[in-house]
Amino acid sequence: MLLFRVKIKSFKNKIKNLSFGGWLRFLFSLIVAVTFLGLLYFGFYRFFIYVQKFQIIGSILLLKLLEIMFLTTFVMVIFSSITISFSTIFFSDDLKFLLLLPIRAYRIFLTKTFETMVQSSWMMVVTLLPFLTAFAKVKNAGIEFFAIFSLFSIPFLFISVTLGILITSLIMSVFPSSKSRDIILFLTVILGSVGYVAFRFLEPEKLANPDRFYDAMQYIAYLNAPFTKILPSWWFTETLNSILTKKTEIIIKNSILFLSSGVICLLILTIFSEKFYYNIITNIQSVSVKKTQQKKGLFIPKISILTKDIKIFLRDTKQWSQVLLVLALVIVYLFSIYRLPKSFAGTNYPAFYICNFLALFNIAGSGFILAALALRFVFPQISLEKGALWFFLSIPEQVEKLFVKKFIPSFALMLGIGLTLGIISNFLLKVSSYKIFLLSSSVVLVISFGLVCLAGGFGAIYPKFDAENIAQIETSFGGILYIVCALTYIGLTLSIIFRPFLLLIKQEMGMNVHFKDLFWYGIDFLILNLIAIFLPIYFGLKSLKKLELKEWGG
Amino acid sequence: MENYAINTVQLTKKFNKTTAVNNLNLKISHGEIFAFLGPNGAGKTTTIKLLGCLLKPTSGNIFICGFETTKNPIQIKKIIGIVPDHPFIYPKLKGIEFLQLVANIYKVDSEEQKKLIPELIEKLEMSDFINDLIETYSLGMRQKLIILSVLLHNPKVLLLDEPLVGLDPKSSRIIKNIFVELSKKGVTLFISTHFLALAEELAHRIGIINKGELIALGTKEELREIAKKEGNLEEVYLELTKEQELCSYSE
Repeated sequence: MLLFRVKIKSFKNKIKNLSFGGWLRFLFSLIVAVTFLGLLYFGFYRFFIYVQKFQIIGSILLLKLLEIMFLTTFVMVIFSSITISFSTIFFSDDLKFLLLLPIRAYRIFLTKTFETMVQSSWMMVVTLLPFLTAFAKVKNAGIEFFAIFSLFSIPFLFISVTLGILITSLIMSVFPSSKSRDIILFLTVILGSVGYVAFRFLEPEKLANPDRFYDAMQYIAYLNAPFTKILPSWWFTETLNSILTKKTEIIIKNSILFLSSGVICLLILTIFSEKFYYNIITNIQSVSVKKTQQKKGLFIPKISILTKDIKIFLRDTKQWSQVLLVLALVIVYLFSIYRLPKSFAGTNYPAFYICNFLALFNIAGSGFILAALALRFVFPQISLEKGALWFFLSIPEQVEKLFVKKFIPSFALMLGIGLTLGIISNFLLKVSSYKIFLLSSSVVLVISFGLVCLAGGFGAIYPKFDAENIAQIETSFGGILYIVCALTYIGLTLSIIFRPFLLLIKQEMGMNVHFKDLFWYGIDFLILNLIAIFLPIYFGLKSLKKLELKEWGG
Repeated sequence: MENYAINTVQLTKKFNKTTAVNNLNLKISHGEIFAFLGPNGAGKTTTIKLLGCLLKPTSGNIFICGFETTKNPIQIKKIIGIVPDHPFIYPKLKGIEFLQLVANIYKVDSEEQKKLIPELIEKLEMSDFINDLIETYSLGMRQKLIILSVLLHNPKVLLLDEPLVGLDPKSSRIIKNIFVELSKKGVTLFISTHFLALAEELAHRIGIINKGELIALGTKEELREIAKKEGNLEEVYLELTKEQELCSYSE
């Protein structure tokens, strides 16, 4: 309890010392989050109403969706706790201090487990809320639905986090050095990425299409069967469904299952930590001083501010795993784009119209991927200088020059991905009009440039030097603000180029088109991009010039 | 103003309601080794950051070799070298790469680099680990690497925050000898430290700061007179800071 009190006290002190600007930021984040969740709720609600209307299968389909959501949450929390527990349980800053205290290992371990649980699951829980609220609304569920959800989500998440932590602990006991750990993580990500791509290539959406099954009974039987009854995701789905169908015995059965599994997990963690935690920590510390073999002679390499970040990036195996995920994401996106025109087969629209019109959709899709990539790779750049900020600030160069040098690799990377997405996706869509091809690809390229400027600028205006990992930087106030602006930017771009697109399609279809109006759309597009490119950079540079070094360590 | 390597005029730095440095007036000559002493939280590190253009003064002025920090930060950064307390350096770079990076940033000629870097590595006995990643370095190794890096561009002023922290006795001796050599060449060394022996051994003048105020300034002999205390620097320092504590207590 003492360690929990320290965490609560630290949190209270943070709230107490929040400045007026800090409160404003908090309020803004809250408004953005509530709006986002509201939109999600609205989307889910409309979708559930639509699904519910299907005769016979509507309700079963909804239940299946609920199970899929819980299964996804369960797996995501396991993955998330694997990555987060490395920094919270084995490499935490306060660990050296805590281990000196006369406290039993299991108490430190369980406190850190709780911290891991909060960090790895809060975002998934927040995303679940609009989904469940929409589900409850469609099913006319009462307050007991949410009461049971709140109660059962604790053991549900705890079981998931325990699995993640046990996997991490196993990796740490077998591979205590950071290099081996990174390689194992890297291999895990490769397997995960390959699995993700393979799963997408199987086209699971076909399973939701009744035409794929020989008869209706087979389809209904498929929907009715749980993925697996031994997973807590099914217990959760079954329990919430039982509230609607008033089957108390199932609720009691699953309560016992959750409670007993939760207690077993707690016992496993306690015994494990008492037996192995200190040993693992000692092993980690003893291998961290191991060095590379001494080379003969002295070779002085060429390295500059520009190449420094590339070198660091390539040596950090944790970053490779991110690159693999990006690659998987791009492949899956391109595959989805390739399949997209086929999903319109049988409709009354001509194939020419669909392919060329989808080029407009492609701008939104590519823009969304690029915005997410910029949030992951560009936005944190300044924040990641945290420890070496003293060095960065003492470089005798104009802030403008430093900024450009720092962001050149990101610009190159994002433009490369933008170009790939823009051109390849239009090839895959079989966009037949070269004008539409050119317009769509150029807009994606311009957006990728605009997004790098937005992310770089916002990253400099709102750096987060106290973050322990990149996830904390991404979910900071600046990160949220950036993503809101980035999505607005993409939305405005689409609304501006919508009309020129239609005109080009009409022209390709042989209609008479007047292009005089297009001039003003061009001006709008130019103004939007000037704002998206120059404003964040201007304020970012201004903020960097004002930056002061409070601590040597950032 | 250019007669002094470091000249602060009524320098004040406030963080919200806390005054970290208050009305600091210092004039430090070229080639002088100046030791800056004081209890924890007295304002020593804040002063170093102000001198290094890493913080902006709330009021007052700072001149480094005639350049004012608020007007010519780039010029100043070119002629100074900063050694922080417990430095963090890019862990995924090798020691030799960090040195080359610094040399490149300060535009040290590549021929000069080829001559200077191996020479300094040898002098500081770093050849055993210079090709290793910095993440494997101990605190002392990192400290030596930083000290070596600030010597590459021949700075006129060195700002050193606890420069001997983590160093073994032999390395400390080597570094102290380098400081003396640099001072003879006209380089000014501003050393903030808790190691009174270092100040006693090397410093031409000593300043003592407490709660942001400069409470004593002078040579060792002058400080003894101010404190009205014979003996080593430790006794003089304790006497001066004790007086200050008593004054603030009575206030």
